Parts: sequence; C-alpha cells; structure tokens
Amino acid sequence: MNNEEETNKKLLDDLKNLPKVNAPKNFETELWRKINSSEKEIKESIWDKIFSPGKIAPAAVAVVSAVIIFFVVDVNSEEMEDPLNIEPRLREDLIVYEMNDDISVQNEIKTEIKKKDDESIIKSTTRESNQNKISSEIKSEEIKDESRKELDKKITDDELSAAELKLDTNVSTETRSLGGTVSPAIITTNSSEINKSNLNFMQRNLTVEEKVEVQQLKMKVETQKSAKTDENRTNPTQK
Amino acid sequence: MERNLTELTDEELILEFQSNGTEKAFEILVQRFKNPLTNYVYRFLGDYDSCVDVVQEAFVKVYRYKDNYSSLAKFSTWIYTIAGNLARTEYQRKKRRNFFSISSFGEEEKTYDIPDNSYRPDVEADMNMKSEIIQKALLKVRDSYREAVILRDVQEMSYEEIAEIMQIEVGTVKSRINRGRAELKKYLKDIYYE
Repeated sequence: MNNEEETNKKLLDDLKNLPKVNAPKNFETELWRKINSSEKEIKESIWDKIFSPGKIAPAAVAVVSAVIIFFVVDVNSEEMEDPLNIEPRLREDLIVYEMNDDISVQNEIKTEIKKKDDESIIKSTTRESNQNKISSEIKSEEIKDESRKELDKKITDDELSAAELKLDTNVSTETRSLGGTVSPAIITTNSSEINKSNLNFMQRNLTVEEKVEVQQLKMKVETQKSAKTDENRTNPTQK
Repeated sequence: MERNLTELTDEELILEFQSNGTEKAFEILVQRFKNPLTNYVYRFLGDYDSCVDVVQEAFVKVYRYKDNYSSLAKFSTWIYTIAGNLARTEYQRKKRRNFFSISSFGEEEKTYDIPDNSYRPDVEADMNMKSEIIQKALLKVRDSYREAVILRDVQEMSYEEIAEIMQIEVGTVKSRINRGRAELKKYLKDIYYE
C-alpha cells in the first residue's frame, strides 16, 4: 500500500516537473499572417469570387447558351407534339372496368344482342323483298298495258298519217324522191305538233293496193268480231 | 494605455477586444496563453509542429469569433476548450493517416509508435530520458483520460475548470483522471517498480 502511494506521488511529481514546452519565437508573426489570410479568404469568398471577370464571362456564356437551347428545344417539342403522331392515351378506367366485370357474361349478352339484331334485319329484308316483288309485278303489268295502248295508238296514227299524206302540203321534197317502201318521218314545221310517234323515222309507207288489202282484212276481222259478239249476246248461257 | 491593458484580467481584455476591437488586448491575451496552451497541446499530441499549428488556429478562432465569448465563463476555459477540440480533431486525423500508411503493411492489430524526428533544440535541451518515456506513455493512454490527466497533473487545473473545459461532470473528471493515472502507471511500470 505504501509502495502504491509512493509510486503515485512519484508519478504526479514527474508529471508536474515535465519540461514546459514553449511557443516558438515567431509565433505572433505567424499568427497575424494566418489571421490576415483568413480575413482575405472570407472577403474574397463572398463578393470577389462571384463577381470576378474570370467567372462572370463563362457564366454569362453558359446562361445565354442555356436560354438558346431552351427555346430551340421548346420549338422542336411543339413540332414533335403532333396530335396525329401521338399514340392515344391508355384508358385505364376502361381496362379496370373489363377486368372487374365477368367478360364471359358480357360476351353472352353481346351475342344475344347480335342475334336479335340479325333476326330483325332478316325480317325487315323479307318484308321489303315481298313488297318489292308485289310492286314490281304491278309495275310490270302497268308497263305491259301501257305498251299495248301505245301499240294500238301507233297503229291508228299510222293509218291516219297514211291517209293524210296526200293532203299534207308541208311534206319535204326528199321524202317524195325516196318513194320506196322506207321513207323518213314527216317533218312538221310546227313545233307544237311534234309527238313521240312522229319521231319514229322508220314508219312503213304502204302502197294503195296494200292499203286496200289491209282495209279489207280489217273489215273481215271486224265482221268476225261483231258476229262473235252477236253470238255471245244471243246465247250467253252456252258458255 | 498599454500599462492599463496589461493590468486587466483575461475577461476584461477579451471584453475590450469585443467591444472596441482593440488588437493590443488580443496581443496581450496571446502572450499570456501561448505557452500554457502550447504545453497542453504538445503533451496531448506529442508533435511540436502540429501543436503550434493547433494553438495558432485556436487564437485565429478567438480573433474571428470573439463575439461568441460569453462574459459568464472564464476566458481560460473558453480558449482551452477551443484548443482541446482542435487538438482532438488533429489527433484523430493523424491517427487515421498513420493507420492507412503503416498498419496496412504489417500485422492486423499491432500498431507502431511513430518516432518524433522533429529536432527542437529548446525542447531537447530540457528533456531527459525520463520525461521522454513519460511523454510516450502519455500518448498511449486513451484520449479522454489523457486530456483529463494533462489538465490536472501537468497544467494543474481544478476539477471544476477541467469539467468546464471538457464539458462533463466533476465526478466524471475525477474518474477519468484516476483511470488515466492507472493506465499511465501500467505503461511506466519499468520505471516505478524496478
């Protein structure tokens, strides 16, 4: 225990008596040099470094180039944003709707709707076709009747025109010179008298003998017709 | 005027420097504290050049941040705190540098004592073999214990002052001093137990 105390005392004495280390002689001058340099660094770091011409020029160039690039890129971006070239936006809400609902049920509903639509279309088409058939039949009958009437009219007109040939003063000299069986149609000077039948240039001009024969045949036919009508009137019960 | 400034206490001088910017007051403070601070930092670092740099840096901080000083505290504790923090930072930096430069070559856990080759005639003249051994032993003690032992046994400060400088409780200061002394004795057993 005494040894321990002695060693402690010795140690403390030795630590106290350690040679004192002093600062060097030029301590103050070095210190003031450091203080001045640190002050200069502070002043330079705030204003001089920012506004030094060596840094303003490249900074200005960089800013100007950045502005130019910005405008150039901006103009290009407007050209690039052509709505026709942009892909349509993905409708996520629709996708979610399909994902959530049962797709098979939807398909069934769609097929049913299609079937109904097809049936209605078929029905309507059949109706229309039937109506068209009926109307076409009616029309064809009407056309036939009209054609018959027109034929009758033609025949009568031909007869009348043939009878009037001698009396007509406006007949052209060319028709007279042709003479034969085929002659051009009669040209009338009066425009109000032009008819559809008159426009037929291929009318047959019969000779007098042929006309006489035709009239005789007509007379025969009429007599036969009248005889038949008389027979029908006299004996209606025989039919 | 000069006579009056030299008669002023440390606290009055720093207040004069704070309020009026009197550089003479700062110079007097430098004259008063340069040697004790150099001794303290040298015992902590063990390298004279870096010790002088640290003390000068401490005075630069006092000059630049004089307004941060509060008149409630003692000037000595304030400047010792600044110097102690700078010394600790420098010691850690040196330790990292030595670790990467030497420890990477040899064994994994073994560390090397770096011989101080800086020849200082004014220091070497007063140093005998014993003091050299004690200084080397001090450098082996843990940082926090070493600082407390130096402030108490070398600088002869009170426990309260050490507590203020290290910013710890007085009880912690006492325990650190005891542990530091015990470590130091362990390293100096060849001298004291022969």
